[in-house]
Amino acid sequence: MAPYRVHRLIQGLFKVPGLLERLGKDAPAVFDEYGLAENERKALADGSPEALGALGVHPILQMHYMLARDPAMAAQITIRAYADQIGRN
Amino acid sequence: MGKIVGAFATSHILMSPTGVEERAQRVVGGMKEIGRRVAAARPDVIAIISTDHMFNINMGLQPPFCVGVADEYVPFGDMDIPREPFPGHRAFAEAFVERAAEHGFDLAKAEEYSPDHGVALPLLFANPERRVPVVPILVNINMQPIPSPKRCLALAGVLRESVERDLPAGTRAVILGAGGLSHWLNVPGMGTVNTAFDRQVLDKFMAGRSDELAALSVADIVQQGGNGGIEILTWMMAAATCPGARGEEIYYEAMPEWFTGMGGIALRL
Repeated sequence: MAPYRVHRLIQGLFKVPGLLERLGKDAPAVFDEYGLAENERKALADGSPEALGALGVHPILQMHYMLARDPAMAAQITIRAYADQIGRN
Repeated sequence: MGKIVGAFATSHILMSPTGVEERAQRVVGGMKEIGRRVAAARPDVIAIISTDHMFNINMGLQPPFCVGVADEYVPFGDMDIPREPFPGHRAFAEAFVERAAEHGFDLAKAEEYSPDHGVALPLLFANPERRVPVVPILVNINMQPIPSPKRCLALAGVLRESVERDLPAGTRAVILGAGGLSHWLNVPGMGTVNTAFDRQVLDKFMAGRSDELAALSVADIVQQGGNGGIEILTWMMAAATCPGARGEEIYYEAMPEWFTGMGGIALRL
C-alpha cells in the first residue's frame, strides 16, 4: 500500500480547490507540498497504471489520478452520450 | 407498517457507446426498464444500496457501512452526472440506523455526502424527477476487511425489518442494489469479463437462491468476479430484503470495452 501522503494528494485532486490545476502547472511544487519521496514523485510523474500499481496506490485512486491527468479517459467515462434518454423511461 | 413494493439490482456505470452501440443501447434500455418498474411500484421511499468510489469515503476515514441521513443530496458530478439535488428521507434513515444498532450494527451516518455515480447514476433512471426521497446505504468495498457476505445479508434483514416496523402504515418502499457484475479495476485482469461467474450469479438470483452466494468468502468473489465484482454484495443485500423471491433478468451484456459485465434484475415479490 502506498504511503498515505500519496493517497492524500490524489484524494485531494477533486476536493481541494485549485489542487488539480496546480498539479498541472507545477507538479514538483505540489509533490513538495505533500512531502513525497523521490520514488513516489517518479511514479506520479509517470502516471501509468503500472507505475501507480507498483507504488501500491489503491486501484480506485489510480483511476482518480488517471482521470485527473487524462482528459481523453474522462471523455470515455461519461453519461453525455445518453443525455437525451435519461429522464425518459 | 411499511412494505417493500419493489426490489431491483443493476450495474451503476455507463461509458462511451462508441464501437459498442448496440450493446450499450441494450444496457440503457435495461436501466430504463428498471426505472419504469420502479415508477410503477409508486414508492414513497427508495433505499439504494451501493458503493462509494472514494469521492466521499476514502482512505482518510473508512467505515464498513455508512447511511446517508441528510434531507437532501447533491451528486458529486463524476461521469458528468448533473449536480441536481434530490431529497433524502432523514426519518427512515435515522430509524434504520437505530434499529441496526439494536441488532449489533454500529453504522456510520453521513450528513455531508455527495453521491457519486454508484448512487446517482441508477437514480437517474429510478428517480428521474428526483421526487422520491432516498436513503443511501453504502457498503465499503474499498477497505480491508471488506464486510463479509454474511454480515451484509444480516444487515439487509435489518433493513427489511426497519421498513416493516419503522415506516408509517401504508408506506411503499423500493430497494435498489447497485454495482457489479464482474470487473477488475486497475489490477491484473483489467478488461476481463467473467461471463461464467456473472451467469452463475444471475442464475442464483433467478432461482431465488442468492442467499447461497453468502457461502462464498470475499476472497472467493474477488477471485472469480474481480475487485469490482465484489459489488454484487449490493445485489445480494437487495435480494435479501425479500427472502426467497425469484429474480427476473432485465438485461445482461458482457462489456469488455467498458471493463465489466453489466446486468440488471427485478425481484418478483
